[in-house]
Amino acid sequence: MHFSLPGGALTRKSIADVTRRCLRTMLVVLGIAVGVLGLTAINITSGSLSASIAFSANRASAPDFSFNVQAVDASLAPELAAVPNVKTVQFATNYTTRWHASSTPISIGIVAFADLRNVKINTFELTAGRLPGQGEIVMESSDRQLQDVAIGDRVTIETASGLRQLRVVGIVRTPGQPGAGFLSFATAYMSADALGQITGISSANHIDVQLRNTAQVNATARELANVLRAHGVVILSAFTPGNNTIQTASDAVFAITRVLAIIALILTSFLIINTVTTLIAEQIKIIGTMKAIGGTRQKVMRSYLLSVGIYGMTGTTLGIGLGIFAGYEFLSYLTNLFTLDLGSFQVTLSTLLISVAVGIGVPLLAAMLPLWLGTKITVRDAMTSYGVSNGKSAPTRSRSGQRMTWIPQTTRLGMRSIFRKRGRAILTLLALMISGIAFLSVSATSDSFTAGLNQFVDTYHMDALVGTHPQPYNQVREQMLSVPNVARVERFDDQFVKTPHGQIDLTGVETDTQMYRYHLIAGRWFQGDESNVLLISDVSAGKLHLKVGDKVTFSDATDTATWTIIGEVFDHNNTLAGGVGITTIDDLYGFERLPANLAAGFMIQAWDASPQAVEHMANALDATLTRAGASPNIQTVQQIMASNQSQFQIVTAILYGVSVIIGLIGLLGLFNTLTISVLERRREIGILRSMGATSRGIARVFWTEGISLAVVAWIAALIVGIPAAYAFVSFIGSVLLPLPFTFSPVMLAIMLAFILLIATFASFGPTLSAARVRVSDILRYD
Amino acid sequence: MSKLFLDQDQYALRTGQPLIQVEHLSRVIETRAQKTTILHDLTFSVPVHSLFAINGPSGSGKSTVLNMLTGIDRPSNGRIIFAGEELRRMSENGLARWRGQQVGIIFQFFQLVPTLTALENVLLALELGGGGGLKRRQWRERAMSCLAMASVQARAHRLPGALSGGEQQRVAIARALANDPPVVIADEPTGNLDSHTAQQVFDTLAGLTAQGKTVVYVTHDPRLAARASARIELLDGQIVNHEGAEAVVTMPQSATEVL
Repeated sequence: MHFSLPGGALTRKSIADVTRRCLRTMLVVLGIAVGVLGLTAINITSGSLSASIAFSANRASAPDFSFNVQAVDASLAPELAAVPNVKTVQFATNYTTRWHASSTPISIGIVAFADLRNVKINTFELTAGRLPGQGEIVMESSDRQLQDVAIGDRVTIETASGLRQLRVVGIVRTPGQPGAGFLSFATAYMSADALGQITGISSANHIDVQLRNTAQVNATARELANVLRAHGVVILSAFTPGNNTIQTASDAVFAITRVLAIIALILTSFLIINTVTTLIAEQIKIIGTMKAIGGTRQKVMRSYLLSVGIYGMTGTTLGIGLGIFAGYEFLSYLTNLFTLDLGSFQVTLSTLLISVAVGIGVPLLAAMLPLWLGTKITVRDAMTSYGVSNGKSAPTRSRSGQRMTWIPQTTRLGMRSIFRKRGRAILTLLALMISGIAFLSVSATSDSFTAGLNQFVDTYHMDALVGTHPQPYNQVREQMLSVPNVARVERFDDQFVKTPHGQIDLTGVETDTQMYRYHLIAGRWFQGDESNVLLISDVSAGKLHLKVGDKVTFSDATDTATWTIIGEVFDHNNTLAGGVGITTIDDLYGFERLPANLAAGFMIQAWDASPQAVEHMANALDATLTRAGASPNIQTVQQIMASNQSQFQIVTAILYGVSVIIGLIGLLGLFNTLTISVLERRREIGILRSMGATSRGIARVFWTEGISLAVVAWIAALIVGIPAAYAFVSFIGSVLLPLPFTFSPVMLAIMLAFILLIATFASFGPTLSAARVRVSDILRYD
Repeated sequence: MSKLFLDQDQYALRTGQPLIQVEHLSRVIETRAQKTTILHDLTFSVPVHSLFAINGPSGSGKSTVLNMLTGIDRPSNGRIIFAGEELRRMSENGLARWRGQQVGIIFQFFQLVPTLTALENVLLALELGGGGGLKRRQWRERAMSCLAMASVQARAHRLPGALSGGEQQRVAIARALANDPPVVIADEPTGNLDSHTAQQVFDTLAGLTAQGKTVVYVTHDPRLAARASARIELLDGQIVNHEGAEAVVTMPQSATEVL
């Protein structure tokens, strides 16, 4: 039963050409849909995420700057609020400790306010339960990513007076704060009274300030600092909001995935070219007939362009639909990860128009050349096309044939056919090559990231990092050295400061440090008791346009300094935040105006650096320092590495996903090429059959062609792939974080297996088709 | 040729010339290996309203002559004048348009578009050939009448794969008639059919002359050749005999007897 379709006969033919070969249509549409999906999802997510970050920051009422102080009395608040330009002042108590949730304690920061009902800055939203009173606590909703917790549960935390249990009475969310799973750090809220009762801390140690005019933030901060110091308050650090790391990281990830989406679209173009070439090869006689009965070249081209347009429209519709879904899901994942408010989900008109233009325009443009060339054929040539080319390279083949008689002829038939049509072969090789290179680049990125982490460990040669409230150094050092397995303790601290060209993480180390193993690129290390000097990392040098010998002016919220750069070191810590500047710990604390005998950060080296021993040591350190009232925050190197790995996994998951898609498109390209090969060589197949070739023998010819193409592509990918992978890793370095280029030679073998797998799958259909060709269908003359 | 439809009678009366004139036609094919002369200096003419046969054994150049007449192939030397217009001067697109309007072609292996029904195959010819001077809304009716002329209207909505060989060839005849061309050219129209079906199809083809068409056909079957009102006989690319048509014999019969 045949149903009449609207439109002329040519239109109906165009539609039938699409619907007749379901598998090919499905794969082509899928190829287009994938490219459009990626582009749509990226555009939706990037646009909405930026809006969401801004929206959440606004809703959370972020501070314009903050102070960490040793202790401040609440009675000072009105005087601070009276400083000109100050809109709101808020005191809080931050207490860092360990949450004994399971076998491995979890670092937790408890934020306490005098009046939980009157929190004006860094607000949180109660999503379930109620605000806590004495002996009670509310947990951040993302804490459940680390440990399941519900209202009514009891959480056990460490304090100076031992373990304390608190009842969970509510669940909150703090917009704009990265999730606990992302940070490997939990957050909770208590009343200041309740916290004081279990920890003995009676004063606030954190001040958040909002201004009326943020342009005068530094001047206002200095005035507030003067007020605090006038009352004997020791300011540990003062900071204004720096780079939005979430925004920076997201922008980098989107830049990377945009590049990959463009690569996918380029491959889709190859796919279209291959598919259109296949279609023309299949319909060469029909093209001849149409021209014979009055069809001009333009009319014939238009009918095939309509088919391509149908591919494009179908793929675009599918791609946009899936892209919106994927964009929403990815956005939901990110907003959940970073506790952002999505607001109303919108798809902008520009996003849709871009996707439509690309999804329909790219296939049509890609199809123009093969259609123009394919419809150039004369009626005579079209009607008399048997298949086998007239062998312009015949002399070469016959000479090589004399030398290679030891290879089975059916195998040689497959191998010699690779470059029978050079243009098509090159296109197919390119598609396969790009698939292999994409795979290699992604695995190199993953390996490079691991190498980068190892470099970090090599530079920061410690086993644990400890942060405390400012403590008398000699005293706390002795306490830490008394813990079993602690071999060495060095002061180590950092603070983000701003320069005219951007932010930098000013990091203080001991002048004679044994743990910070610096790799000098230029200049020198510290000498003697020199002060007001620093070394910058290679990352900072690039981002801030600084070099050895320059003077750099930097400031925090209250103070400004100008120091001389004496050296440049290789250090990729905190790249997203602007890189590091290394100074002496004394200079750092001097800039922060911390009393000389105090220290708040330490690197620890263990005698036994095995992960288990270091874990035991960290637990013991935590217990010791908590009992001493130091409010410690301890991270082992393994925890730091694991946290970084899990954060980068988002990127590698996306990259591997896209490389699989690129591989699929390469597969389809080879499938089309082999299909054409079968079509064009039907007479050859008929002759082989008439001479006794079995189906398996025929199949072997084309399987050999497919595998040979794959091997040639692999060899080409080897030559180009390593530089291409280097370029890709460098690109990631430029947008996200610098990575030392690393790849495993094993990956080259895996890449070969990957390409061969693609080739085998792609060869299956055409070889089956070739094996089924009957002699009688072929060997009759037109 | 600006007119869509050639009034053959008017042309013949006005000019006194045959519809198709072939003068010193040659076709040489050169490859790297050799140079082959397919046609040697053919000169003949096709009268108006004739059932004109070109016959000869395999390899005699019959299909090549046909391809020249339809503009599908171009001669190496000589010229073809179709109703006073020389085909050699036309471009590929020009020839395509010309074929759509002036010539209906019937192939040995039908060459129907497999994804279109019989009716749609005829409509395709109308769409590509300019519609035969009819408005688009008249095309369907025109296509059905062509199918009726070929006695295959009952199969209008079948795909070619569901038709017998004879039925497919009848659809091909209907397609050739779609734009009401003055000339119908058939290349071995019954070569792929059994004898009974071949007879029926040929009868349909031959009947077109009564409808004012000039039919030129190629055959290697002497019985079908004998039914022509005019014919030439080819051997090795040369005319060895002719009947009812003006032609120049370039290979005498005696020479063929020697061979």
